[in-house]
Amino acid sequence: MEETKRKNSDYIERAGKEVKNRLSVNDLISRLVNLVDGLEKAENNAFEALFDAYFLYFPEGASLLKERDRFIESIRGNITREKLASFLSITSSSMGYDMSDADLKLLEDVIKQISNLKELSKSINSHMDAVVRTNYPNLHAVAGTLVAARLILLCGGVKQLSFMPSSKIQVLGAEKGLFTKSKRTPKYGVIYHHAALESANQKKRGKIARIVASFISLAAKVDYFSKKDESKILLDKMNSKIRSLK
Amino acid sequence: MELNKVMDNVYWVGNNRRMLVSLNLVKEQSVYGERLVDVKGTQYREWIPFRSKLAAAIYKGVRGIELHSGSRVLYLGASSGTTVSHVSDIIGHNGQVYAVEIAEEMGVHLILLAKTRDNLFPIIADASRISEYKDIVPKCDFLYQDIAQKDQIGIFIENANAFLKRGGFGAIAIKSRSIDVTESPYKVIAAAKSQLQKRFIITNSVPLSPFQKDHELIFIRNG
Ligand SMILES: C[S@@+](CC[C@H](N)C(=O)[O-])C[C@H]1O[C@@H](n2cnc3c(N)ncnc32)[C@H](O)[C@@H]1O
Repeated sequence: MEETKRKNSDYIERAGKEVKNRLSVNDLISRLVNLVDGLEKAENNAFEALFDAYFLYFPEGASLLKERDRFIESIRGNITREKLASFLSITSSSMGYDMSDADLKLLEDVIKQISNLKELSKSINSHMDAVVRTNYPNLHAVAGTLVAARLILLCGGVKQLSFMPSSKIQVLGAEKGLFTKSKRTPKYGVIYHHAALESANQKKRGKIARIVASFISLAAKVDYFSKKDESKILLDKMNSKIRSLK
Repeated sequence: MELNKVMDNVYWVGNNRRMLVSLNLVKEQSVYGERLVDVKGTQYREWIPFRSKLAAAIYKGVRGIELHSGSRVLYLGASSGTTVSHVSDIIGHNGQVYAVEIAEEMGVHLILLAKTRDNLFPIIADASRISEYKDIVPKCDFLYQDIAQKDQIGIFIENANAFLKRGGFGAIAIKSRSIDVTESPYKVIAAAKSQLQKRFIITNSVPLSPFQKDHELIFIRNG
């Protein structure tokens, strides 16, 4: 290697090209999943804090509205004790702290922002749906948008997924116990959020999980290698296999 | 404030609660949130042992690390450039650090950092595939590796064979629980050492707790 003075700008250019080459729609999908997760966390935290704040004001009313959507729907437009009490047919006298109009106005703003967060999550989800379907129609059909997206996030891309044995796909996302010495294999991976599994009864879940994982593996291979849209055939086959489980 | 030299461009600053710093090659730049300290008109960057294994080793008492102003370094597993930035401070404008990182998300940070430091040469490649960069990396004085991978020692030896000068030095970070999760940390380190000993002279070895959990930094000399 000759000893001319090296310039790091050549390396910067080369490395930059390498990065650009490697970035793909898989990275976009992973970031969208993280965005959805982040928003959901923010929404949960904001909701809990809002509930606590309202509980301070009207515990008798709030305690009847533990269910999240019902709480939001009920106090939206009924923020004062008088209104909420008549909405719930209870008395408005309360041991709670008497908030001012300005205090209550602030809580109304918080409700509005939480609803906005919800809307935002929805629009990210539907965009993600379009992205996954366009790029990986087979995986999209077999796994569903969110499971597909999470699998991509977990293993880095559809290429990696297509090379993965389906037994491993079945436990992806459940590897918390990886660094313990316990030999017990974790049971519940991301695919347990699959529609066919969430609704299934306990006894069948293991078997269904195996079927779903094997079709996800197949779908990933089709998306990665042949890039043909065989989603209908795959989905039909998977569903009939699941149905044939007694 | 008082400065006590540790190695080229690296100092302890302060009297009772001492803090490790390196001479800031790029004035006013903080790379990963570390504090900037001005002493007598010169700026230094805090070198945080919880963020950098090399700093942890110095806090644990390691001296005589063979990194100098003007050194040529091959750094494997550069990540976003936390430790690399301090190596860049140490070697100064006459040195060169070739920083290899496999993950492009991390690589982006490394490349952006290189744009501010003319002695930093970023390479997005897999350290187990030397062919990807053998034409663009020269013989080096120091080989540093921190990749926490299965065959990390094999990778280290291969890179040393290809790029480390005879008589050169190196250091490798061993995660005592990454190679085999069922093996005890002590055994993992012992096995790593005996593997390294077949090829190098081990000059020092230091556990990095409490700064870095389950890690050991092993220093070697090439023949
Ligand atoms: C623990 S981090 C390094 C932190 C860094 N040394 C510091 O102190 O700032 C390990 C890095 O090694 C990278 N890595 C793992 N295997 C690699 C390989 N085969 N080639 C190059 N980089 C690798 C990872 O992507 C990760 O960024």
